[in-house]
Amino acid sequence: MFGYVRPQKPELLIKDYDAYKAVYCSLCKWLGRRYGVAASLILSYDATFYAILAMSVRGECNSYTQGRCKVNPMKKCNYCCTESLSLDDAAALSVASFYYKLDDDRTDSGFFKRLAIRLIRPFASRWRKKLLKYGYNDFDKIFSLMMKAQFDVESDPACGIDKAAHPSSEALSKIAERLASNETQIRVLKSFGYYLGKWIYLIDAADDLEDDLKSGGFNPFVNEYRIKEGYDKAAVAELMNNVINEAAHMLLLSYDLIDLKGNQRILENIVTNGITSMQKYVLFDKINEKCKNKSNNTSINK
Amino acid sequence: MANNPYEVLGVSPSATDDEIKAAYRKLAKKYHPDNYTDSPLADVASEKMKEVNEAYDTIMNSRRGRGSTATGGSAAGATGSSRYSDVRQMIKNGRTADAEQILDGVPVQRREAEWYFLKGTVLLKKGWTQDAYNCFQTACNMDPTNQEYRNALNYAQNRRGGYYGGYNTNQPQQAPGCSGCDICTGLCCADTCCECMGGDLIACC
Repeated sequence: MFGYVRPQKPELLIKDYDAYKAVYCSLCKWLGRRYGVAASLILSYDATFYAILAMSVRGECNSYTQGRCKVNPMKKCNYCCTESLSLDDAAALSVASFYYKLDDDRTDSGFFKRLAIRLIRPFASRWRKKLLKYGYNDFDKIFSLMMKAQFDVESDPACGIDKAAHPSSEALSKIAERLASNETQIRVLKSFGYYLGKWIYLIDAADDLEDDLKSGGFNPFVNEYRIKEGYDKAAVAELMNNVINEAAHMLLLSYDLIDLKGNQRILENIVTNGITSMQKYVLFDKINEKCKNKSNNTSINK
Repeated sequence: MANNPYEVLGVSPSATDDEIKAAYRKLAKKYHPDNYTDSPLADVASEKMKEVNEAYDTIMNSRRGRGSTATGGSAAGATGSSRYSDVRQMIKNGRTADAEQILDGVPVQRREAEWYFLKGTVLLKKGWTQDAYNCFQTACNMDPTNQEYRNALNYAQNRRGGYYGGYNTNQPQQAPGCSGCDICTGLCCADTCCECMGGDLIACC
């Protein structure tokens, strides 16, 4: 979960944007209430998406109330219903994914980052204890299994894209599946979660490609296509885009079959426009931006 | 769907194929999206349409499956076209794990185009889109004339092109030029400038 699943704001209706923000703010508040004020900081777009999806599938929360923002008391925000199973689930998802992500980062990052992680870790552990107390053992198990499976596949030198993406895809498929209320919907949501997980994993891998090449870290694209330093950036971006498109296509087909009871426009915006623009940004625009910055710097140096 | 497909179509399980087709056509006409273009019930209609389609497919698939096993004894010997008819049947019935196990048991040197095609199909069902794509490519390279393999590869290429879902790099960017918005903003600006100088372009504001 890295903040890649977000709406494309210009394409949203204002009322839908308000509704999106209301869920975002409610989740922030809910994290604070259930896990302590500092937990509000791990609020993410991905967890917000999960909250909206869960609300829509279960038909929860269709009204909003006004309240004050905890973080910035001068600001008034809309909040959706105060007691909601979906918010609780999304908060649990945030905590579990954050805890295990931190656990993973601890082993493979530089000195300063490791130091920072050591400072944050006691908080994460405390949140996780609460998570278990609240009965979210399934979330905890899904992520711990995912990390273990991820470690296993990455130790295989011949590991390709599909194999590398499988643990994350499986984890999200389990997380999406639990929202379903009947057999058909279990199948639909399972498949949706699988491809969403795959999409997230791959877009993150594409985003990290350059860093991984430099540091020699594991990257599925490097493995599959034997990418070496000094590669043709445009060609590789096109190639990665093709691979990621396939996940996006499949997740959209599954999305079309989910029984939704509210906020469809927001969700559709996210799975179509949001995903499209994120791919465009990560794979094509970001590189250009970096190049521009670089050429600016060199011209200043001259 | 928990609904009995025969109930959905309103026919008895002993109905002939033609009767089922007739019932399906009648319902499909009734729920056709064209009938509901401006109706608030369009979503309900499409849901119904889906149910009807599903019911029809289920019945037809199950009947077709029965038909082919009944004639399988003679057909397999006569044509012998597919070494993998059992694997194909498993894939059709959703037993992808079994199908994959059998395919993986085939030694590497005996794997021909059809093997790669079927392996790709199994992988695709599992969600392993990248490996599936590679398999379809291999199948097409080994047997470039086979339309079945070609179709599978074409579908994969379409998915990868981002025509539905994802980002399509070939899509024309928004045409540069003067949109309706630009005209309005331009006029407003011109009006403001005129007013600064004491004149007026748009009288009402």
